[in-house]
Amino acid sequence: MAAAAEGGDLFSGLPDEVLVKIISFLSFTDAARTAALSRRWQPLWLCSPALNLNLVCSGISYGHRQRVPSCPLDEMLYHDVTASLRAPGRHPVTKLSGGPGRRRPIQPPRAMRRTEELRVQIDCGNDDRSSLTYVYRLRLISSIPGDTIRILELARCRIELPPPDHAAPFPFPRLAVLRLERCSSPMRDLATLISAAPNLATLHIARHSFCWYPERDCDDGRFVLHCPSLTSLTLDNDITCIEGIRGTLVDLAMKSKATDLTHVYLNLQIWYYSPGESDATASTFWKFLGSLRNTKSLKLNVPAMGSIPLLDNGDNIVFENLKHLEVECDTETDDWHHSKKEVADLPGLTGCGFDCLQNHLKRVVLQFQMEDVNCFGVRLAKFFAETCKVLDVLQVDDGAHNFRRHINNNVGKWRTNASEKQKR
Amino acid sequence: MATGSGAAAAAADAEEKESGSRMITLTSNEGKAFVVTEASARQSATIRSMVDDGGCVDKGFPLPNVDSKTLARVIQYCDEHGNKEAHTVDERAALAKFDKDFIAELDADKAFLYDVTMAANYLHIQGLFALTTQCIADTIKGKTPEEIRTAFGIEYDLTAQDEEEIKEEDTHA
Repeated sequence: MAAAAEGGDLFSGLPDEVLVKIISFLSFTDAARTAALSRRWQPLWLCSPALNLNLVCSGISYGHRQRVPSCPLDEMLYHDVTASLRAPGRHPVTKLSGGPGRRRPIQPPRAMRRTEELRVQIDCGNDDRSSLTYVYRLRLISSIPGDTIRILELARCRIELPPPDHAAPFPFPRLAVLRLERCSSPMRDLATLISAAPNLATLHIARHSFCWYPERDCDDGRFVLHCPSLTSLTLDNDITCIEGIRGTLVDLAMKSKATDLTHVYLNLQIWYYSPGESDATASTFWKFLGSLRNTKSLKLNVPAMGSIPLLDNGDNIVFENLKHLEVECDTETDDWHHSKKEVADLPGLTGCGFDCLQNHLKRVVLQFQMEDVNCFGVRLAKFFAETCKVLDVLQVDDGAHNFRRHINNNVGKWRTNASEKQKR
Repeated sequence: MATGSGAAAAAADAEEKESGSRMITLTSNEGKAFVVTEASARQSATIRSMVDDGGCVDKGFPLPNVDSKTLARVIQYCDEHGNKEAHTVDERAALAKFDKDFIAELDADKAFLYDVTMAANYLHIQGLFALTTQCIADTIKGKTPEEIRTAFGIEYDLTAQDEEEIKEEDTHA
């Protein structure tokens, strides 16, 4: 530790395990370079459980039929990665991230059989078309060590399962986190993958494209989620079918009760899209929302929520455990007064039952970006202040306008009045 | 343990179950005592297991490997993550911002950053450990071995034979 005594080597005081942890954050090339630092560093990078293949591949072509142009740099890196995985002294890789930038399936050598975390992100620049076609085809069963994988994060990948007869009943027993960003898959393959992970706790699907095979006529446009252990669900925008099945509506349904569900974020622009199917859409929407009734925290961004008709059967959705509620209303429409009327009676939320408002709801976040000044925000705040008996926080954010102070001044008064009325 | 203090411990347990906010004393290697909430202390897997094993909560926990300055900073992190809720998107964003500011401040004082890293490793505070090691990794990123050696004062002790081996491997790269 002579260097440390001279005040030189800043790393000399850190134990190997810390250095390995530091290496685990580096990309493959940076990690490999640390071997040339000193004798102490030389063997360490092979102990890192993470393999980060961060490749930015330019010049990739998107069409189904076009070949990805061969990329010599990738070829060499692929070679090096494979070599490093077979190097003597290689510790098992439990985290793999990055994008091979090619459609060659990842062939896991022995060192990767115990992979717990897999992150594949293909960076294709800003071309949005890539969300509609696959860039990297991931053959899940053959590529991923199903019995060890815990975290799977994929961006711009195409997910395909082998034919059903090859699939084990529960090939992903430990999978807890599944994040998909701009991926595509046949609807059924994604549903099968999710139900094959009985312990899935976090499910995040954003900008997903469902593609449809004419030869697989079993896809009926219903996307059924079966995830009994779910604690966090995010469905973010543009969950669409490409090569369309009867328009763009995905019929979302929850098959399991997911009693541990605590966080739900739904950003569903899609409901706005097909007014012609409003009844079927409404039915699907309310049923789906009803299946998430155990959640503690709910964030909704459903711009057309006010125009989704209520179901006739009068079944209210009761969120018994709800503690946090955030509703985002998109106000890009000019006729705010029109939507005001529709939101003012908040069919979805008042419909969820006064019991929940009175006894459980503790935090309400209202965000307004209004073009015109009107009293809607005040009314809505008053409604919550009067109705919710255990309300802790009523947060009103209206951007440029200054309702907030006005409302906050009145909240206390409303609540007192309401509780006095209650007593009488 | 005498029966009296056993009863007291039982009472404390009951109280803890009721309020969930027991206080815990951590002592630095300089003998300075820091009183923190249990929720804060539980950010450390090391302390958590000692508490759960029924360790001497009343007497507090001496931490012979951590000095006062480092411990104070570590507690700052644990307080933020242990005492605050992260249920909503906003709350999580606030916590992420705290982390960002926290590490930016540490990054300015490398020697202190390593002290905090060591403490996080020793106390098994997973989030803090990941935060500091990621920060150190960011400073290595994209540098040549020579640049890293210069920046961190690493002594070059590879023999000609070692170098030959690395070069051999490098020819593939």
